[in-house]
Amino acid sequence: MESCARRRMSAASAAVRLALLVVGGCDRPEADGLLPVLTFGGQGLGPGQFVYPRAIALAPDGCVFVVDKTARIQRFSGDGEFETSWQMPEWEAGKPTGLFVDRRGRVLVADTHYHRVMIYDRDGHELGRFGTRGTGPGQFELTTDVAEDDAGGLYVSEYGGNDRISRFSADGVYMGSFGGPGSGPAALQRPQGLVWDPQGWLWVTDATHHRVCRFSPDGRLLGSFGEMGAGPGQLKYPYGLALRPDGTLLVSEFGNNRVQRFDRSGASLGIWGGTGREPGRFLGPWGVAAGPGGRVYVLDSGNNRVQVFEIR
Amino acid sequence: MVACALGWVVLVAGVIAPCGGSAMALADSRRVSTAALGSPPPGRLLVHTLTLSGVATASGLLLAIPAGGLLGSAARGRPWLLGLVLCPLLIPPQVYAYAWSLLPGVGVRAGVAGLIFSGLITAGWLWPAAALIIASGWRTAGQGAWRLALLDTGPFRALVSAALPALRPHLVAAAGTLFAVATIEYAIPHIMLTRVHATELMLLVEAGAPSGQVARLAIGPFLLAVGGAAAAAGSLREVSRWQAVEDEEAWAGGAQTGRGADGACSAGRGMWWATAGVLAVTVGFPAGLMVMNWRDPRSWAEGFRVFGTQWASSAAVAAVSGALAAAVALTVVLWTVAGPRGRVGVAAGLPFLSALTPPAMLGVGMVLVCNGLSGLDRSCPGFPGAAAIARLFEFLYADIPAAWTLVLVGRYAAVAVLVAWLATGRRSVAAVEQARADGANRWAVLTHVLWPMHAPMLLAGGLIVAVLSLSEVVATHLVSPTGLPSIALTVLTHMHYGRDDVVIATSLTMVGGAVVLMTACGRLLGRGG
Repeated sequence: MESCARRRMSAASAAVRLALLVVGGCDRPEADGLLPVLTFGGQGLGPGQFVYPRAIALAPDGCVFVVDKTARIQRFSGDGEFETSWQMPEWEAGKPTGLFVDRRGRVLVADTHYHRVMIYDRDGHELGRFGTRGTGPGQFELTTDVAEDDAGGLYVSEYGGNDRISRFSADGVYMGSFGGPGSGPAALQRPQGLVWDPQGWLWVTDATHHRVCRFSPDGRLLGSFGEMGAGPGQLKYPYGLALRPDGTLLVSEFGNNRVQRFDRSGASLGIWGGTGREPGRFLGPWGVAAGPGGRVYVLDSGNNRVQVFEIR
Repeated sequence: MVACALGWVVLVAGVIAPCGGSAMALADSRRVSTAALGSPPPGRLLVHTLTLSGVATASGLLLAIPAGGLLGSAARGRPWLLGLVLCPLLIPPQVYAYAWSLLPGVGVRAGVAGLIFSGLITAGWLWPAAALIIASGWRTAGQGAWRLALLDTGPFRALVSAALPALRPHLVAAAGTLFAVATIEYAIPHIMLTRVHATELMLLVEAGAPSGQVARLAIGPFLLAVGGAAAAAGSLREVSRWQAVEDEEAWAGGAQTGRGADGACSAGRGMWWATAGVLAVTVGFPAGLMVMNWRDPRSWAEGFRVFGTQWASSAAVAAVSGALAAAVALTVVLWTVAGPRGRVGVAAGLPFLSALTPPAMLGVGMVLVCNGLSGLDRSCPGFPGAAAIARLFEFLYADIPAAWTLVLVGRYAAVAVLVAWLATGRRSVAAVEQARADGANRWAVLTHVLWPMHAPMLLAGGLIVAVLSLSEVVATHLVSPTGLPSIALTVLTHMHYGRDDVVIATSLTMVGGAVVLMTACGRLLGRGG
């Protein structure tokens, strides 16, 4: 389909926008006017195009992996050049919503609606899989993300009733779970993103609680920050999570259509994005990844693209 | 007249424009490979669609028979009953699908089981429409046959052997209506992960396929829906010829059939219990499933906090859509009583054309029209006023929800027209003629005769359209401006990810709202016509 023409502000439309803001609200929180240095993707079924991408991961060699709603996993160079793609073996029940590349370069896919984690090499050859459906130890409902600690152990987040993080050793042995549904401070509801902090913590986006949690490796809640809202320090359906080399956290907020940067204490260091289709704005960003050289890759899902920013 | 002019403007903008755009899309011969989507081959896709629609039709008819008999016997004395029976229609279909997906051990199913399950859920949503049609037949033919048969046999055999055969035209009409709507319905098969034409159309649109490719795929379900509607219309047309005579006799006699009738004696206790059972299964059970999975009561308030913007923008758009649909219905009323017969057919038929168009295609059609007009200054720079027209349509499409509102009118104006049409009978014509004979001018006829007579029905129709608009997701997804979110679309997105307190609370709010609103509508519908 043809895309929309560029918007032009007129006095009349400004007045109507003001009226709409008063009456119904226009979801445009204040944000820095950061512009991307690079954009790639676009809507479509061809190589390098996306149909509502929902997860992004960066490899140690700088390659970018993206999975979308056609269940294709596509690999790009760090500059957005399409390299290769492959499709999940099954996708009728649903498509993956989590991607992670471990230090060996293996691509781990949270195959959400098949209750498992699939493991591929960088060219899409399957290396293994684990997980079955259930609520028992080592079983999954809807897997959402994978993370790896310094010892090679894996953490798998899931929800759909389980709403927990399961821990596996480097050999794949189940070691325990934490989180879970409920009302306590450590209870989770839709843990969507995971990232391992070299300081020995696991950061988790607790999406439906609109917060980010910090857990010890054995699952003790060490702290959390965020509450539902659109102001600085507030979050609305945080999905994506990334840790920059300088120790700051990046959170992509699906509900606020923006990316927010925090320090490890949870203080907001900046916000950029906002609702829209123009460069620098987002529609339902599902993921964020931190690359070398200050690069930040934002998975702008509703606009079917990846926007790359440079942040010093 | 002003009201007529507004109605025609809305007809052109909300009905003719998107339908025209859909037709224009056929000129785009481009095609992209859809291998990545894993779409079923055309033959299998047709089988899937027919299976879902067939199951929905058959089971919807079965569910509707008790309520149809009950409404036909008692509704005019009990408007609340009419509202209660109709309320399942106003609950968003995705809420049904989400609730049933919470059933332990069931979840969502692919394959044949999923198709059948989707069909049953669709029947649970649509059966009230069939009940209304069956009720009109029960009132005129079924009840009499049933009562006569009761002299010789029990209630169930009287129903099966006497009443249902007498209701055959209305059963055909009800079946055609259910089939038409089920064929183009998207939300239920989408959540249940079944692949039918409606879901494949949206996949194509989301994948950025050329509009022509989308349009060619939409032809099949459109023709199926039109076929179902044509069967319904043809069946009802036959019946209406001799039913009009009954109306005249009732009007001449100054009595209204069924008013004040004792529902229990007319319908039988069995029908009351059966209707209650159907409501319990189709509304109560899904609501109960959601309540059982609702762990945090605070999420009800949080739902409004989280989705506050969505509620506000959706409610505003829905209210305007309802008002515009009522304007269209008023136009039909006016033409029916005052205009030549041919023009009535055109005015009244157009909304049904857009209502039967798959909503994805309707949305694509509107996008094409809006994009074409917003780019007029580039495509036709020499056209007088091209720049101003382009700026105007860009404003209407991208800056305010005008296109969104109009496409909702295109989707649902047929409902308001149907409600108004049912109320417009020979009594309206006779009343207008009487007023004119007394020397009333057009304005006096409108304000002192037609408006008091039809206001309740027009209001009810507009209210129904407003609530339906609130839950529409397909055309909304394509046409709503960036930054103006829809509550139905937002909740639909979250419904894919299992149990969610806020989603459950919001869904229960929609269920409760439908019950309350339809009780009010029932009173209006009972007073009108």
